[in-house]
Amino acid sequence: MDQVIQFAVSVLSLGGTYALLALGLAIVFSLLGFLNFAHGDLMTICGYGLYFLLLRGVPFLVAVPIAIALAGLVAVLMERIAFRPLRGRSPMSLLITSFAVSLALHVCFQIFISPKSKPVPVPNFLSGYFTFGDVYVSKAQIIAIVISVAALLLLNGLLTRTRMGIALRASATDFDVARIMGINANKVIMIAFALSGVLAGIAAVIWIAQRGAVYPAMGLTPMIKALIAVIIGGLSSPKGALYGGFLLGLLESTFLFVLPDEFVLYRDAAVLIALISFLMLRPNGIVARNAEPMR
Amino acid sequence: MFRKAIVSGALVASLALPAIAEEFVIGAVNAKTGFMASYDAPFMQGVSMFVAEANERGGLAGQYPIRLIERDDRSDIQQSTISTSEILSDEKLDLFITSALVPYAVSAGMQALSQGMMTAHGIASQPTIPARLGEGSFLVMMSDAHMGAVNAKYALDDLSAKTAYIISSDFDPFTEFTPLYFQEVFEAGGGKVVGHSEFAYDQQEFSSMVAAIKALPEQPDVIMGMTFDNDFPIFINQLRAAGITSTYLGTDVLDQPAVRGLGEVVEGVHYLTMAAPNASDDAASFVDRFKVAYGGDDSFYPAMVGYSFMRLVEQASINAGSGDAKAIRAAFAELEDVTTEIGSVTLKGYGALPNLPVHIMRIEGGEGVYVKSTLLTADEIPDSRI
Repeated sequence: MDQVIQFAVSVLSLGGTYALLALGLAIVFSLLGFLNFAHGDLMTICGYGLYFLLLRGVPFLVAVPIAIALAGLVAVLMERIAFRPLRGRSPMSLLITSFAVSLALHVCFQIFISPKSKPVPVPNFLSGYFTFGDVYVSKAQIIAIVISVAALLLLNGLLTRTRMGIALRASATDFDVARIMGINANKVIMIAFALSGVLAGIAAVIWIAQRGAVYPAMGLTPMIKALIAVIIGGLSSPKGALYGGFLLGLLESTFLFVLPDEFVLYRDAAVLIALISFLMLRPNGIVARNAEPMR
Repeated sequence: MFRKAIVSGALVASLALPAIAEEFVIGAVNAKTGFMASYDAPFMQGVSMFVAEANERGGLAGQYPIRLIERDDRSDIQQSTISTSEILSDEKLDLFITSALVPYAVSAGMQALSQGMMTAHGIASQPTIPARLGEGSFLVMMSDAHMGAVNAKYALDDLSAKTAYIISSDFDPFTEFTPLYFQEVFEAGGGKVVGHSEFAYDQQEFSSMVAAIKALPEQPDVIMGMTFDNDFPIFINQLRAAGITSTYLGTDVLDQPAVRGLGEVVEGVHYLTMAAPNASDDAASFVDRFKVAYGGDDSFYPAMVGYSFMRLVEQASINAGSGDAKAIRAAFAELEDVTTEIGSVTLKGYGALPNLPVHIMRIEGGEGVYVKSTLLTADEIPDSRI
């Protein structure tokens, strides 16, 4: 029984984090038709924001929202400085620009902060474990699940019940028609980037709560996972990204539990083979929809 | 007559000028950016610090002004190969320093060794590197065999451990073989390894491994693991969350403030290091000077190794009575009991893998507390697995 609970916790905590990140990628993709490779670096920015705030004695619970807001702000600046001048160009140009932005940020972290990990002291309520009868579950994992579910519900509310969310969804469905209907393109894109930055920031807090450190390449692995989640979910569908994130979490946890120890090294390969097989059956992902990049 | 006067004047003038000192040129191709930067860059900070201090007193051994030429390989093996070729064709080097990662070290080291100079490999600890490269290639770190053996000896002698669980990964010879060296020495000393798990680098989830440890009839006395600082926090959280209280013995990859700052879950975790500020006055003085040179940065571990390495090179130059690359290379292999910041280092009789004290640290209250230093004898060091 305890193994089943541990497995479920593992799937939900991993899947929730991937889903948050994948959603951020999908929101931008649905509008502009490109995958922002610098998305993972927004996580790192949130991590460094947290590190510097805590270093200056800001309480953890105050530092967290500020650091998340910082990731949102940097995402908006990224759009304004790097992507807006290229608007209307091919998605490939934007994709390559996002690579350059990611590389530049990465090098800046290494040169101006440090190539080594920086500690982010996690308060006691985030470290240690909960006990449920005979079952011990890491607090960080439970909190990861609670935060991801809360964030996903909030996002759902935002997208379905507010004018801003409806504008965002309308633009994602057909940007040209949405603009004819009077939706401000710059504003919608800015909101999409801010939202993707905030989601990356929330994912960063979950990531750091389990690791207690930030380092220049922190965003790379989660970014790759989010990319996979978005592709299997269906590139331009936020709902697909959500499913893709949890499916990836489920597959990773399953292979970890099922594979014998000596084959655990091949877990990622096994996950990718499973996903390639899935994409051969369903090439457009779980939720198939064609992206209509903004021109 | 006039011509004679000019020639004799020039001769007198040239004799009056101070002789241009012979330079000692160091080339280094390793990572300043990319994933290896956190290991290579601090090592080079130590080298640079030595160069600056040595040049103030006249250079290497007070005689040979040192020029350090560095190239960033961006943690990319192709860039490493290209930069190495360029630096070797553009400059006449006396010493070459590679990245610590095995493929980079072997590829760049091969090119450098063909020119006859000695080659060192940052904080690499894998005996595989000098074994593949042959004469002239030296490690300046404790080897993986040292780390495995010291942890085993400490578990047996100081912790009175009878059982151990080992965790390895095929990711790298370091993560693959160090637990096996541990097992070899631990079992030879009467201990028993009761289980062995493997992990993938950046695994992020250790529930199944923790479940395997928990399923043992009794908790092992110690767990000797190889997780890096990216995976270790998750592993230790999940391990302690499962109620497993076995003493964790790690290697030098845990010598990081980020690991020590993980809170209650890392209390009592042990790790190895070569840079224990409390182990000697030289080490403490280095840390103070390093803080002045590089600010309050706490990454003095690889830096101290880099600085100590240069002290070994200087001693080799003094022993050889020369600044010549080949003479220094030969003298380096004969070094014996050289006092450095990382302890007393001997290469003579140990081949390319120096023998030196390994410091054991324990995390208490968020700090790394110095426990003891262990210097192995030649017969206590397991044979290298390559």
